[in-house]
Amino acid sequence: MPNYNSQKWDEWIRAVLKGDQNAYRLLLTSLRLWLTAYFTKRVHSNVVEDLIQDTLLTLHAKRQTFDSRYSFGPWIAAVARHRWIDHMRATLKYVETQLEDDYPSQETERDICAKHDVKILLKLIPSPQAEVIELVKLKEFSIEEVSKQTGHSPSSVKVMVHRGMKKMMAAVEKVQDD
Amino acid sequence: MTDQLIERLVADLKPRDLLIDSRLWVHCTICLIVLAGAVLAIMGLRVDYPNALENGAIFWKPGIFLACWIGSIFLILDFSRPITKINKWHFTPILLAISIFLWQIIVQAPFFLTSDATISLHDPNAIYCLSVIIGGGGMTMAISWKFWFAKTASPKPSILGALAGFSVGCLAATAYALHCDKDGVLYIFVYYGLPILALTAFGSFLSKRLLRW
Repeated sequence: MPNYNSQKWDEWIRAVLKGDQNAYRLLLTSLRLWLTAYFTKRVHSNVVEDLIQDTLLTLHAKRQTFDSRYSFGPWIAAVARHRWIDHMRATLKYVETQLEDDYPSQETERDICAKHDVKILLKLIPSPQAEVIELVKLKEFSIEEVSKQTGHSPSSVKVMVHRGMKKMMAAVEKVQDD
Repeated sequence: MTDQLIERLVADLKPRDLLIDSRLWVHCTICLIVLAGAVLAIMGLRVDYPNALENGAIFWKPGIFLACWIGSIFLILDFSRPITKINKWHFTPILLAISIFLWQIIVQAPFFLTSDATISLHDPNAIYCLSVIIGGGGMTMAISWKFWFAKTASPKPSILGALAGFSVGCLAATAYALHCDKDGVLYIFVYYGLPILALTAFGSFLSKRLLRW
Protein backbone atom coordinates (compact mmCIF):
# COMPACT_ATOMS: atom_id res chain seq x y z
CA MET A 1 0.00 0.00 0.00
CA PRO A 2 1.45 3.41 -0.92
CA ASN A 3 2.33 5.34 2.21
CA TYR A 4 0.92 8.66 3.23
CA ASN A 5 2.78 11.29 1.25
CA SER A 6 2.20 13.52 4.24
CA GLN A 7 4.68 16.29 3.70
CA LYS A 8 3.82 16.77 0.04
CA TRP A 9 0.08 16.47 0.70
CA ASP A 10 0.32 19.14 3.40
CA GLU A 11 2.11 21.50 1.02
CA TRP A 12 -0.34 20.82 -1.80
CA ILE A 13 -3.52 21.17 0.27
CA ARG A 14 -2.38 24.55 1.60
CA ALA A 15 -1.85 25.71 -1.96
CA VAL A 16 -5.19 24.17 -2.99
CA LEU A 17 -7.03 26.15 -0.36
CA LYS A 18 -5.67 29.30 -1.96
CA GLY A 19 -6.94 28.12 -5.36
CA ASP A 20 -3.77 26.61 -6.91
CA GLN A 21 -5.03 24.26 -9.64
CA ASN A 22 -1.65 22.62 -10.36
CA ALA A 23 -1.24 21.65 -6.71
CA TYR A 24 -4.79 20.30 -6.76
CA ARG A 25 -4.07 18.09 -9.77
CA LEU A 26 -0.94 16.74 -8.07
CA LEU A 27 -2.82 16.13 -4.85
CA LEU A 28 -5.75 14.32 -6.46
CA THR A 29 -3.48 12.17 -8.60
CA SER A 30 -1.37 11.21 -5.61
CA LEU A 31 -4.46 10.51 -3.51
CA ARG A 32 -5.90 8.32 -6.21
CA LEU A 33 -3.03 5.87 -5.81
CA TRP A 34 -3.34 5.81 -2.06
CA LEU A 35 -7.15 5.46 -2.18
CA THR A 36 -6.90 2.58 -4.65
CA ALA A 37 -4.77 0.67 -2.16
CA TYR A 38 -7.02 1.71 0.75
CA PHE A 39 -10.26 0.49 -0.83
CA THR A 40 -8.82 -2.58 -2.56
CA LYS A 41 -8.10 -4.02 0.88
CA ARG A 42 -11.68 -3.44 1.99
CA VAL A 43 -14.12 -3.90 -0.89
CA HIS A 44 -14.67 -5.83 -4.11
CA SER A 45 -12.51 -4.53 -6.97
CA ASN A 46 -15.63 -3.59 -8.98
CA VAL A 47 -16.59 -0.84 -6.52
CA VAL A 48 -13.12 0.50 -5.78
CA GLU A 49 -13.26 3.11 -8.54
CA ASP A 50 -16.70 4.32 -7.40
CA LEU A 51 -15.45 4.79 -3.85
CA ILE A 52 -12.33 6.64 -5.03
CA GLN A 53 -14.51 9.03 -7.02
CA ASP A 54 -16.89 9.50 -4.08
CA THR A 55 -13.95 10.30 -1.83
CA LEU A 56 -12.46 12.81 -4.27
CA LEU A 57 -15.88 14.48 -4.66
CA THR A 58 -16.20 14.65 -0.88
CA LEU A 59 -12.74 16.16 -0.60
CA HIS A 60 -13.79 18.78 -3.15
CA ALA A 61 -17.08 19.58 -1.40
CA LYS A 62 -15.80 19.53 2.18
CA ARG A 63 -12.25 20.80 1.88
CA GLN A 64 -13.13 23.77 4.10
CA THR A 65 -13.37 21.37 7.08
CA PHE A 66 -9.64 20.64 6.87
CA ASP A 67 -7.92 22.24 9.83
CA SER A 68 -4.63 23.61 8.51
CA ARG A 69 -3.03 23.36 11.98
CA TYR A 70 -2.93 19.58 11.50
CA SER A 71 -1.61 17.16 8.90
CA PHE A 72 -3.74 16.33 5.86
CA GLY A 73 -3.16 12.55 6.00
CA PRO A 74 -5.46 11.73 8.94
CA TRP A 75 -8.12 14.05 7.50
CA ILE A 76 -8.28 12.29 4.12
CA ALA A 77 -8.13 8.91 5.89
CA ALA A 78 -11.18 9.92 7.95
CA VAL A 79 -13.02 10.99 4.78
CA ALA A 80 -12.15 7.71 3.02
CA ARG A 81 -13.24 5.74 6.06
CA HIS A 82 -16.54 7.62 6.13
CA ARG A 83 -17.16 6.75 2.48
CA TRP A 84 -16.31 3.11 3.19
CA ILE A 85 -18.69 3.00 6.18
CA ASP A 86 -21.46 4.52 4.04
CA HIS A 87 -20.84 1.89 1.39
CA MET A 88 -20.81 -0.95 3.93
CA ARG A 89 -23.98 0.35 5.55
CA ALA A 90 -25.76 0.20 2.20
CA THR A 91 -24.23 -3.19 1.42
CA LEU A 92 -25.27 -4.75 4.73
CA LYS A 93 -28.79 -3.38 4.29
CA TYR A 94 -28.88 -4.81 0.79
CA VAL A 95 -27.63 -8.20 1.94
CA GLU A 96 -30.12 -8.31 4.79
CA THR A 97 -33.18 -7.20 2.84
CA GLN A 98 -32.55 -8.12 -0.78
CA LEU A 99 -30.78 -11.45 -0.56
CA GLU A 100 -33.78 -13.29 0.87
CA ASP A 101 -33.48 -17.04 1.17
CA ASP A 102 -36.99 -17.47 -0.27
CA TYR A 103 -36.01 -15.74 -3.49
CA PRO A 104 -32.56 -16.93 -4.55
CA SER A 105 -30.82 -14.09 -6.30
CA GLN A 106 -29.76 -14.12 -9.93
CA GLU A 107 -26.19 -13.35 -8.84
CA THR A 108 -26.13 -9.87 -10.27
CA GLU A 109 -22.88 -7.91 -10.13
CA ARG A 110 -24.18 -6.11 -7.07
CA ASP A 111 -24.86 -9.42 -5.31
CA ILE A 112 -21.36 -10.66 -6.03
CA CYS A 113 -19.77 -7.43 -4.73
CA ALA A 114 -22.00 -7.33 -1.66
CA LYS A 115 -21.22 -10.94 -0.76
CA HIS A 116 -17.49 -10.31 -1.19
CA ASP A 117 -17.59 -7.23 1.06
CA VAL A 118 -19.66 -8.93 3.75
CA LYS A 119 -17.31 -11.91 3.74
CA ILE A 120 -14.45 -9.59 4.71
CA LEU A 121 -16.50 -8.34 7.65
CA LEU A 122 -17.46 -11.75 8.99
CA LYS A 123 -14.23 -11.95 10.97
CA LEU A 124 -15.39 -8.96 13.03
CA ILE A 125 -18.25 -10.89 14.69
CA PRO A 126 -18.44 -14.05 16.83
CA SER A 127 -17.95 -17.22 14.79
CA PRO A 128 -21.38 -18.86 15.40
CA GLN A 129 -23.12 -15.77 13.99
CA ALA A 130 -20.58 -15.48 11.18
CA GLU A 131 -21.15 -19.11 10.22
CA VAL A 132 -24.94 -18.69 10.08
CA ILE A 133 -24.69 -15.46 8.04
CA GLU A 134 -22.31 -17.10 5.62
CA LEU A 135 -24.66 -20.03 5.08
CA VAL A 136 -27.88 -17.99 4.81
CA LYS A 137 -26.75 -14.85 3.04
CA LEU A 138 -23.62 -15.77 1.14
CA LYS A 139 -24.23 -19.40 0.23
CA GLU A 140 -28.01 -18.84 0.13
CA PHE A 141 -29.08 -21.96 1.98
CA SER A 142 -32.66 -21.89 3.27
CA ILE A 143 -33.30 -21.26 6.96
CA GLU A 144 -34.45 -24.88 7.38
CA GLU A 145 -31.27 -26.24 5.79
CA VAL A 146 -29.09 -24.06 8.01
CA SER A 147 -31.15 -25.07 11.01
CA LYS A 148 -30.47 -28.76 10.29
CA GLN A 149 -26.76 -28.14 9.61
CA THR A 150 -26.08 -26.07 12.71
CA GLY A 151 -28.55 -27.56 15.16
CA HIS A 152 -30.16 -24.19 15.91
CA SER A 153 -33.94 -23.78 15.62
CA PRO A 154 -35.17 -21.89 12.50
CA SER A 155 -36.28 -18.89 14.56
CA SER A 156 -32.92 -18.85 16.33
CA VAL A 157 -31.15 -18.86 12.93
CA LYS A 158 -33.20 -15.81 11.85
CA VAL A 159 -32.38 -14.01 15.10
CA MET A 160 -28.68 -14.85 14.74
CA VAL A 161 -28.62 -13.46 11.20
CA HIS A 162 -30.37 -10.26 12.23
CA ARG A 163 -28.19 -9.70 15.30
CA GLY A 164 -25.05 -10.63 13.40
CA MET A 165 -25.79 -8.05 10.71
CA LYS A 166 -26.34 -5.38 13.36
CA LYS A 167 -23.14 -6.40 15.12
CA MET A 168 -21.22 -6.18 11.84
CA MET A 169 -22.49 -2.63 11.27
CA ALA A 170 -21.47 -1.62 14.78
CA ALA A 171 -18.05 -3.23 14.22
CA VAL A 172 -17.59 -1.34 10.94
CA GLU A 173 -18.18 1.97 12.71
CA LYS A 174 -15.52 1.10 15.28
CA VAL A 175 -12.87 -0.09 12.84
CA GLN A 176 -9.82 2.15 13.12
CA ASP A 177 -7.73 3.16 10.18
CA ASP A 178 -4.50 1.24 9.89
CA MET B 1 -13.51 8.09 -15.62
CA THR B 2 -11.50 9.10 -12.57
CA ASP B 3 -9.07 11.04 -14.78
CA GLN B 4 -11.97 13.02 -16.19
CA LEU B 5 -13.35 13.61 -12.70
CA ILE B 6 -9.97 14.89 -11.52
CA GLU B 7 -9.83 17.34 -14.46
CA ARG B 8 -13.37 18.51 -13.70
CA LEU B 9 -12.59 19.05 -10.04
CA VAL B 10 -9.38 20.91 -10.88
CA ALA B 11 -11.25 23.18 -13.30
CA ASP B 12 -13.88 23.86 -10.64
CA LEU B 13 -11.39 24.79 -7.92
CA LYS B 14 -11.92 28.14 -6.25
CA PRO B 15 -10.41 29.52 -3.04
CA ARG B 16 -12.65 28.68 -0.12
CA ASP B 17 -12.85 29.99 3.45
CA LEU B 18 -11.94 27.38 6.02
CA LEU B 19 -14.12 26.59 9.00
CA ILE B 20 -12.39 28.59 11.72
CA ASP B 21 -13.44 28.01 15.32
CA SER B 22 -13.21 31.65 16.35
CA ARG B 23 -15.68 32.62 13.62
CA LEU B 24 -18.36 30.42 15.17
CA TRP B 25 -17.73 32.01 18.56
CA VAL B 26 -18.03 35.50 17.09
CA HIS B 27 -21.14 34.58 15.11
CA CYS B 28 -22.89 33.02 18.12
CA THR B 29 -21.92 35.87 20.43
CA ILE B 30 -23.37 38.38 17.99
CA CYS B 31 -26.58 36.31 17.80
CA LEU B 32 -26.77 36.27 21.62
CA ILE B 33 -26.21 40.03 21.90
CA VAL B 34 -28.81 40.77 19.21
CA LEU B 35 -31.42 38.45 20.75
CA ALA B 36 -30.76 39.68 24.32
CA GLY B 37 -30.90 43.26 23.03
CA ALA B 38 -34.22 42.57 21.33
CA VAL B 39 -35.68 40.96 24.48
CA LEU B 40 -34.54 43.88 26.65
CA ALA B 41 -35.72 46.50 24.14
CA ILE B 42 -39.15 44.94 23.60
CA MET B 43 -39.90 43.28 26.96
CA GLY B 44 -37.46 45.00 29.30
CA LEU B 45 -35.31 43.74 32.15
CA ARG B 46 -37.19 41.70 34.77
CA VAL B 47 -39.35 44.00 36.86
CA ASP B 48 -37.99 42.74 40.18
CA TYR B 49 -34.35 43.25 39.25
CA PRO B 50 -33.33 44.88 42.60
CA ASN B 51 -34.52 41.75 44.43
CA ALA B 52 -33.06 39.50 41.76
CA LEU B 53 -29.71 41.26 42.13
CA GLU B 54 -29.87 40.74 45.87
CA ASN B 55 -30.77 37.04 45.79
CA GLY B 56 -28.57 36.30 42.77
CA ALA B 57 -31.37 35.13 40.47
CA ILE B 58 -30.38 37.65 37.84
CA PHE B 59 -27.05 35.83 37.60
CA TRP B 60 -27.73 32.16 38.20
CA LYS B 61 -30.79 31.80 35.95
CA PRO B 62 -29.27 33.18 32.73
CA GLY B 63 -25.99 31.64 33.96
CA ILE B 64 -27.40 28.10 33.70
CA PHE B 65 -28.24 28.58 30.03
CA LEU B 66 -25.14 30.61 29.26
CA ALA B 67 -22.94 27.81 30.63
CA CYS B 68 -24.88 25.21 28.61
CA TRP B 69 -24.54 27.38 25.52
CA ILE B 70 -20.77 27.75 25.97
CA GLY B 71 -20.40 23.99 26.49
CA SER B 72 -22.51 23.23 23.43
CA ILE B 73 -20.36 25.48 21.22
CA PHE B 74 -17.22 23.66 22.39
CA LEU B 75 -18.86 20.34 21.54
CA ILE B 76 -20.13 21.61 18.17
CA LEU B 77 -16.54 22.50 17.29
CA ASP B 78 -15.44 19.01 18.34
CA PHE B 79 -18.03 17.41 16.07
CA SER B 80 -17.81 19.65 12.98
CA ARG B 81 -14.96 17.95 11.15
CA PRO B 82 -14.36 14.42 9.82
CA ILE B 83 -11.91 13.79 12.67
CA THR B 84 -13.79 14.01 15.96
CA LYS B 85 -11.61 14.90 18.93
CA ILE B 86 -13.77 15.24 22.01
CA ASN B 87 -12.06 17.13 24.77
CA LYS B 88 -13.51 16.06 28.11
CA TRP B 89 -12.97 19.57 29.49
CA HIS B 90 -15.57 20.79 27.02
CA PHE B 91 -18.25 19.21 29.19
CA THR B 92 -17.23 21.39 32.15
CA PRO B 93 -19.61 24.30 31.41
CA ILE B 94 -22.54 21.90 31.07
CA LEU B 95 -21.60 20.20 34.35
CA LEU B 96 -21.42 23.64 35.94
CA ALA B 97 -24.94 24.42 34.68
CA ILE B 98 -26.23 21.12 36.06
CA SER B 99 -24.58 21.90 39.41
CA ILE B 100 -26.24 25.33 39.58
CA PHE B 101 -29.61 23.77 38.76
CA LEU B 102 -29.15 21.04 41.42
CA TRP B 103 -28.13 23.68 43.94
CA GLN B 104 -31.36 25.55 43.19
CA ILE B 105 -33.37 22.36 43.59
CA ILE B 106 -31.87 21.96 47.06
CA VAL B 107 -32.45 25.62 47.93
CA GLN B 108 -36.04 25.53 46.70
CA ALA B 109 -36.84 22.04 48.02
CA PRO B 110 -38.97 23.30 50.96
CA PHE B 111 -41.33 24.98 48.49
CA PHE B 112 -41.82 21.96 46.25
CA LEU B 113 -44.59 20.54 48.37
CA THR B 114 -46.49 23.80 48.58
CA SER B 115 -49.06 24.65 45.96
CA ASP B 116 -47.00 27.69 44.84
CA ALA B 117 -44.73 25.48 42.79
CA THR B 118 -47.54 24.03 40.69
CA ILE B 119 -49.47 27.31 40.58
CA SER B 120 -46.43 28.89 38.93
CA LEU B 121 -46.94 26.49 36.01
CA HIS B 122 -50.27 28.16 35.22
CA ASP B 123 -48.60 31.46 34.50
CA PRO B 124 -50.21 33.03 31.40
CA ASN B 125 -46.90 34.72 30.51
CA ALA B 126 -45.31 31.31 29.95
CA ILE B 127 -46.42 31.55 26.34
CA TYR B 128 -43.88 34.38 25.84
CA CYS B 129 -41.18 32.16 27.29
CA LEU B 130 -42.04 29.35 24.87
CA SER B 131 -42.38 31.75 21.92
CA VAL B 132 -39.07 33.52 22.50
CA ILE B 133 -37.10 30.32 23.01
CA ILE B 134 -38.64 28.45 20.08
CA GLY B 135 -38.98 31.49 17.77
CA GLY B 136 -35.68 33.15 18.65
CA GLY B 137 -33.87 29.83 18.78
CA GLY B 138 -35.39 28.75 15.45
CA MET B 139 -34.32 31.96 13.73
CA THR B 140 -30.82 31.68 15.15
CA MET B 141 -30.66 28.07 14.01
CA ALA B 142 -31.63 29.04 10.44
CA ILE B 143 -28.87 31.68 10.33
CA SER B 144 -26.28 29.44 11.99
CA TRP B 145 -27.14 26.53 9.72
CA LYS B 146 -26.19 28.55 6.67
CA PHE B 147 -23.19 30.11 8.36
CA TRP B 148 -21.69 26.97 9.88
CA PHE B 149 -23.59 23.69 9.97
CA ALA B 150 -24.14 23.32 6.21
CA LYS B 151 -20.36 23.50 5.73
CA THR B 152 -19.47 20.84 8.30
CA ALA B 153 -18.62 17.18 7.70
CA SER B 154 -19.30 15.36 10.93
CA PRO B 155 -18.95 11.60 11.35
CA LYS B 156 -21.88 11.90 13.79
CA PRO B 157 -24.34 14.23 12.02
CA SER B 158 -27.29 13.46 14.31
CA ILE B 159 -25.25 14.45 17.38
CA LEU B 160 -24.10 17.63 15.65
CA GLY B 161 -27.70 18.47 14.65
CA ALA B 162 -28.92 17.86 18.21
CA LEU B 163 -26.13 20.09 19.54
CA ALA B 164 -27.15 22.80 17.07
CA GLY B 165 -30.72 22.75 18.41
CA PHE B 166 -29.57 22.59 22.02
CA SER B 167 -27.16 25.46 21.49
CA VAL B 168 -29.67 27.86 19.92
CA GLY B 169 -32.27 26.87 22.54
CA CYS B 170 -29.84 27.74 25.34
CA LEU B 171 -28.89 30.97 23.59
CA ALA B 172 -32.54 32.08 23.35
CA ALA B 173 -33.20 30.93 26.94
CA THR B 174 -30.24 33.03 28.17
CA ALA B 175 -31.72 36.08 26.45
CA TYR B 176 -35.25 35.51 27.76
CA ALA B 177 -34.03 34.77 31.30
CA LEU B 178 -32.99 38.44 31.54
CA HIS B 179 -36.68 39.39 31.33
CA CYS B 180 -38.40 36.48 33.06
CA ASP B 181 -39.04 36.84 36.80
CA LYS B 182 -40.13 33.25 37.44
CA ASP B 183 -37.28 31.53 39.27
CA GLY B 184 -38.93 28.29 40.37
CA VAL B 185 -36.95 25.23 39.26
CA LEU B 186 -40.16 23.47 38.22
CA TYR B 187 -41.08 26.44 36.03
CA ILE B 188 -37.57 26.57 34.54
CA PHE B 189 -37.58 22.84 33.94
CA VAL B 190 -40.94 22.91 32.13
CA TYR B 191 -40.98 26.21 30.25
CA TYR B 192 -37.29 26.46 29.48
CA GLY B 193 -36.37 22.79 29.38
CA LEU B 194 -39.12 21.56 27.06
CA PRO B 195 -38.58 24.09 24.24
CA ILE B 196 -34.84 23.48 24.41
CA LEU B 197 -35.53 19.76 24.21
CA ALA B 198 -37.88 20.36 21.25
CA LEU B 199 -35.19 22.36 19.41
CA THR B 200 -32.64 19.62 20.18
CA ALA B 201 -34.96 16.98 18.71
CA PHE B 202 -35.69 19.21 15.71
CA GLY B 203 -31.97 19.74 15.08
CA SER B 204 -31.35 16.00 15.25
CA PHE B 205 -34.25 15.40 12.85
CA LEU B 206 -32.96 18.00 10.38
CA SER B 207 -29.47 16.54 10.50
CA LYS B 208 -30.65 13.26 9.00
CA ARG B 209 -31.40 15.10 5.77
CA LEU B 210 -29.19 18.15 5.84
CA LEU B 211 -25.97 17.12 7.53
CA ARG B 212 -25.29 13.88 5.70
CA TRP B 213 -22.29 14.01 3.44
